[in-house]
Amino acid sequence: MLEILAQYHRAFLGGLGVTLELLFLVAVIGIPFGILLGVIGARFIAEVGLLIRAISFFIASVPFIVLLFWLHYPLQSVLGIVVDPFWTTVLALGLVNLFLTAELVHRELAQFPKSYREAAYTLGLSTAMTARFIELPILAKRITPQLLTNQGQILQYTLLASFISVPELFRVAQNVNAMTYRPVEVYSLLVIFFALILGPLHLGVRYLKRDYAI
Amino acid sequence: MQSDLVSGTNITRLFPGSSRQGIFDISFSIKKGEVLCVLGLSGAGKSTLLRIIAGLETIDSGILELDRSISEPGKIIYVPQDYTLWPHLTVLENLMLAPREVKKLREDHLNAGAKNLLDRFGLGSYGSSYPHELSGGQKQRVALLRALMMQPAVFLLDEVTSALDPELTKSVLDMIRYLAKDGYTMVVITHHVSLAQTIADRIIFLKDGSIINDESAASFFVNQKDPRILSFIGDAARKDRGQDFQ
Repeated sequence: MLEILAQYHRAFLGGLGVTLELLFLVAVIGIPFGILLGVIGARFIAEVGLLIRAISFFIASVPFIVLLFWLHYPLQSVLGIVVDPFWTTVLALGLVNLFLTAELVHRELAQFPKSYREAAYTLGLSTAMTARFIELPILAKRITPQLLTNQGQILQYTLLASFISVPELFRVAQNVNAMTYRPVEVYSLLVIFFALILGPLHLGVRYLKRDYAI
Repeated sequence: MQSDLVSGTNITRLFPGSSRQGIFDISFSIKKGEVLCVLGLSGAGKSTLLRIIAGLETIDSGILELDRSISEPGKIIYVPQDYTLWPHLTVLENLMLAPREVKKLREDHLNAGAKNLLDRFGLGSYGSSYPHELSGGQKQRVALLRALMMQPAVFLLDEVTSALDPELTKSVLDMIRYLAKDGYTMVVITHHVSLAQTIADRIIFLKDGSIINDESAASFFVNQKDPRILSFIGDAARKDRGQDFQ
């Protein structure tokens, strides 16, 4: 295994770089805009809340690989455009992450105990103070574990980008295996990589749920 | 106790299509230093009345007037029956947040005051505890102390013991009696007749969203003739005796 790693480390590092770049871009698109959309849907425009729920339901119902293929082949064919597979994956995963985040924020805001806000109101705290000192900290504690779990799920989804030829880690592993015919070593490297990334993430989530979440 | 701090005239608040009890054409006043107990069966509209005074509910018609001295934020404080301590803050932080942010009081000054209050009410060792580490009675006492930290002009207490078991209830009732003795203006919804008898200056009795009795506590308990109220008092007193809240 070390021999494979030594020989193809540039390819693996390249694949790792693409996977991490995907993950970063998808998080940058999905988390802030998802939070914003969730807040708008829960607090300001009820129709946006309905849209979030409908699209989240749709995303949960359609396998990600189908969505990715649909965006990559039929949609681009109908529109007469060609988009780099990397950016198609960013778009698809970004939308999934955005609506997963928006649904999470929307749900938590909808379930936020009214009594906490009322206590703040009668004690004289302004709306801004209530948001800053009560709502945001409580929401952060409630949302963070699930948000991290979602990012772990997104990392797993990045593997599917290999089906549309994005040179991410799994695609690189496939290519290396095709050249070396040593699947045990090649795919064991992948197992170790994902275990090293996702294992601590899941442990962290468990810790947060136990000691940090409210 | 002279001037009216709060007065309501012909106030109506309905909740069409909801199981919540509204109130109809209610008029009342709360004088400075007065302890007013609101009694009535479940669903009589007692909580709605308090929530209107607290500004947590709008009214459909009528006039609610607040004395200028209590029109600023944090002067009328509503403490509901369910625990409302903010779960991400410690007991001390719960106590200090509103006076620090609203009254802009200094942290060290508040810290000393909060610790002093906690000590006085037997909660001195819980300052750094989080709400989930407290019992129900302790949570309610902290909620009362949090209100006290703002030095409110009017306390609105909405069945603050209803979620507590008898043992914990007694500690909270003792605290309410203490506040009443201290001269705070209070409106207290309670199903503990013994509490009403010991702290109330005046009693309002609500039924189906309307006030059917509004008189001094002494007169309410001694000269009561209304069979609906007598029945309520009898039932509530039996429950109180059974749980030793006298």
